[in-house]
Amino acid sequence: MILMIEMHKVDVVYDDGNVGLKGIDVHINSGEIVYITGHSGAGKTSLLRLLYGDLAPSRGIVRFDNRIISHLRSKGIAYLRREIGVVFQDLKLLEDKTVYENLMLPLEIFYLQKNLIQERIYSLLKQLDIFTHRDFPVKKLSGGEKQRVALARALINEPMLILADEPTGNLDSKNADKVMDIILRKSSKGSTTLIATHDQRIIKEYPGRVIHLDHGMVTYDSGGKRNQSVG
Amino acid sequence: MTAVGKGIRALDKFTHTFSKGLIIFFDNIRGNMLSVFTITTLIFFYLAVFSVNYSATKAIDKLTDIKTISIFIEEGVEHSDMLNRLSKLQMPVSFKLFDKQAAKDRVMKLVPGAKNIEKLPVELFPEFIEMTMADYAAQDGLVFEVAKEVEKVGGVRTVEYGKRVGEKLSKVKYTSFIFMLFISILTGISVAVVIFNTIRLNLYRTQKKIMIYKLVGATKSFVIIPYMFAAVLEAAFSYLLAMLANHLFVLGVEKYLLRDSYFFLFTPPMPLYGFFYLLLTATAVTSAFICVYSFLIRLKSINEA
Repeated sequence: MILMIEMHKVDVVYDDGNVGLKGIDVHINSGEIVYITGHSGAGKTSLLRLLYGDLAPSRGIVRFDNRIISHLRSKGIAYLRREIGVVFQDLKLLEDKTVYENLMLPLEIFYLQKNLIQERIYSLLKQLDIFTHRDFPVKKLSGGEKQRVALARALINEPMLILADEPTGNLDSKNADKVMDIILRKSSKGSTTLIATHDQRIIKEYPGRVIHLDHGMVTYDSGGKRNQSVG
Repeated sequence: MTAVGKGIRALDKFTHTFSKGLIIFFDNIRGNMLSVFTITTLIFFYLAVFSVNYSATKAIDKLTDIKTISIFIEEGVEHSDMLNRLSKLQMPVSFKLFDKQAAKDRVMKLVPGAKNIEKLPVELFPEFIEMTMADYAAQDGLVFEVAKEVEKVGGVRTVEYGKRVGEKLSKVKYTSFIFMLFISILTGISVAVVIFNTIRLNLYRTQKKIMIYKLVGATKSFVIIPYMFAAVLEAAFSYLLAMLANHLFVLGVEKYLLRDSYFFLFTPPMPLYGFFYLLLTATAVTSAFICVYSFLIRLKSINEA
């Protein structure tokens, strides 16, 4: 097993003095599926933000694929993000643009030729069962379809790490299962996956390592060493 | 990667950046056509003022050509006699005689569009001898000395030379230079501000898209360079319109206002047009860079989008 993510004594304190994370010590190996659980405000999103370089730790080290993220400069962060696929809780899709145009964005940065871009997008859309919606504006899609588009955008560059923030949050169980099937299918090809979720049903149905956060601290880790009080 | 592979990749990069720049340029035109008109007006104003200034400076230069002295001779004095007398002064000069027809031709050459002057009878144009100092001797003091000597020669009615005029007009030239410098700086700042604001508006319109680009790993240069391209296109488009407007302005002034004047207007020569274009492009590119860069710095977090 190759160590993919290492967080060592990580604290996050926001400008307003609120503590986001405290004393986080986590090691995640390549190919692992990890659920980050906890109540709202427990620090799940902050933990994901640390990993895609959108938040810097106030203390401690966050290492991804042997790179210390807080030491990376702007260009380094950009290259790091090319290896990470992120699904946001609020999806962050361009509602007025079509599904195809939304999926073009991550490919454009590689200056790929149009035919290559089309080939990749069509192939993924077929796998995700939304090929027929490719020319629809995102705003015309249902919640489940939008979720799959957001997932497609995260997966299109075949990332080493998939970060998903409540990917099944607003979905019925049928759509939630579809989304999880897709994530796990990709994960089985070697991607490391971190899913922040409240959904206990998903955790039971699709087993993986569980890290529980409470008030910014890890209170339970089913796969690693236990920290502080054990939940 | 092979050299060919690198070449293809560079071409893909250029094509992508150019097409993005083109899209932003058309977006700017659609979203803020006023900015193109504003830049065009600013540059036209600048070029028009420059044309008038440039023409005035050229006219002053002609008036104050200190190498030449015009000698007007009295009626009845033979040209050959006068040339003999002048050559006895033994000075480093050359002479050229302008009879009445040559004097008229000279005026017509200076004012090619003056049709009324062309109709005047040749007798009205005074004969004169133009004395040109050798380059090495064309110093202010020496020209003055020579003019004084020539005035003493019998048969000479009047002597005209540019030194005194030049002294008076040099201040005018200096003032006009300072004025143009001031106008240049003002125009440059105004163009930079207009381009900055146009791009800033576009950035706010596409803020979410830019943040998604950042999220998926776009570098700063990936975002900034197309805006710089768009600024170059906007500058080029506005400059072409302004050049055209300036040519029409000069033609109109020549045809209707300065028809029979000794003063006539020049458009700046092509190298100067090219120089102005380079300055404008540099201003536009710098403004675009600062605008997008500061925007990206300010919007640090993806979660702000």
